[in-house]
Amino acid sequence: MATDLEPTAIAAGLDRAEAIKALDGHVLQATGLIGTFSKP
Amino acid sequence: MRRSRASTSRPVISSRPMRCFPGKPRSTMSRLRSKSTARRAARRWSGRRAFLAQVGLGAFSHRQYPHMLSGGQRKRVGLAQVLIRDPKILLMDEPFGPLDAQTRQIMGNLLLELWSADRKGGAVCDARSGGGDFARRPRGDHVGRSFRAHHGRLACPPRAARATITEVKLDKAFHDLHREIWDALKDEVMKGYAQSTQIVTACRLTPQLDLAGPRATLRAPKTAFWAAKLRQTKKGRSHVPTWFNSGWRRGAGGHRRCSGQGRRRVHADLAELQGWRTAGNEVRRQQQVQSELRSGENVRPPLNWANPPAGTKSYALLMFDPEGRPPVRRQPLGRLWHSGRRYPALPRVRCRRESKKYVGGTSLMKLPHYSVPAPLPARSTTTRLP
Repeated sequence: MATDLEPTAIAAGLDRAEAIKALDGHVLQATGLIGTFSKP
Repeated sequence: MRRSRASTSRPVISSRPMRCFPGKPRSTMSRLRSKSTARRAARRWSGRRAFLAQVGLGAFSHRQYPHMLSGGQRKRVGLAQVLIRDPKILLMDEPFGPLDAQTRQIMGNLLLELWSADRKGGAVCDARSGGGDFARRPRGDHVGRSFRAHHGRLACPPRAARATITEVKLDKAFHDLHREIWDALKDEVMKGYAQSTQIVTACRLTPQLDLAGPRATLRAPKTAFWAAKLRQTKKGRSHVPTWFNSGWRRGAGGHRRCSGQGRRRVHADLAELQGWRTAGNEVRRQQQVQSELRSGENVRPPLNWANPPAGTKSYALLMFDPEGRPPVRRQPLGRLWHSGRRYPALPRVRCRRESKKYVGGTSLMKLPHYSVPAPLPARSTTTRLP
């Protein structure tokens, strides 16, 4: 997610719900990736 | 499914689910039937064949199955199935979509002919929900009095007797309908077009996940090399996982513990497994089969986001790993435990443990590119963006 927050705006140690709450309203654009584990 | 009877006035073209044109009595069955039954069945089939001939499939026999037909032929069969019921109203959603232009023309003429000749009191409705589709493909396969449903209302041209679909398309009423529908749908179409453009833009902004990472110049070990290596190690502890050293093997009487030759055979199987996994490719060190316990490296793949939106000061990355729970149990013999989920390791051991007998088949572990999920140990990291 591209945000308009300063890199130091969000404190470390937040859990998922807290991070989403902190990012609310500051996300400019979001995208997603799905990675799968595999072994060659 | 309800079977149609021979005495019904409206025969159903598909009385069996799998057949396209069932109903024609088989030769062996007709010998067993009474004469009148066979006659009725033959008459029924001939009636169906007439409908098939109407849609241009008269040369097809009752032995054609759906997978033997093309998409357009299936559409035509569907149309025959509808027409054979003598409907008063036809509701069609993209009726001639998969058909080529010529066949579409012929089918349009057929519908027009049916409407003008046999179904004078009826109507053909072409219910299209997507306005964008109409805008991209203005084929205009309206047939005579065709109705078009959009935005909760019906639009229809005035009734006019035309011989062919080409004449219908040249008709002024058709053009008026076309213009009216386009005027009504234009805003929605342009809105959808703008949304699709945004989707393309978002795809361009998708970060590229580069999993290349540092590569080790390790050649894939060959099976012979692994076999020799495993023979050198008496118990194979250096490269052989613990569950493979258990000594279980499949014998004539099921599973039994073995040693010596049997164990070497097991080791040779392992070498074959590893040969498949690394067949002929340069592999990365963290992907190397170091241990079935997956003591891999913590590789941080670089994430790149080209053309970030204006005003971007930082990036936030949320990760969700459904398998990333702490393991609840170490692996026992014959199974791999990871994050509380059990995965089969080898069929011989699994079958021994679960069903007490060998049931055959192969193991998922033997398939190339398959293994248990191997998420790396979770570790919180903080990266300061430039």
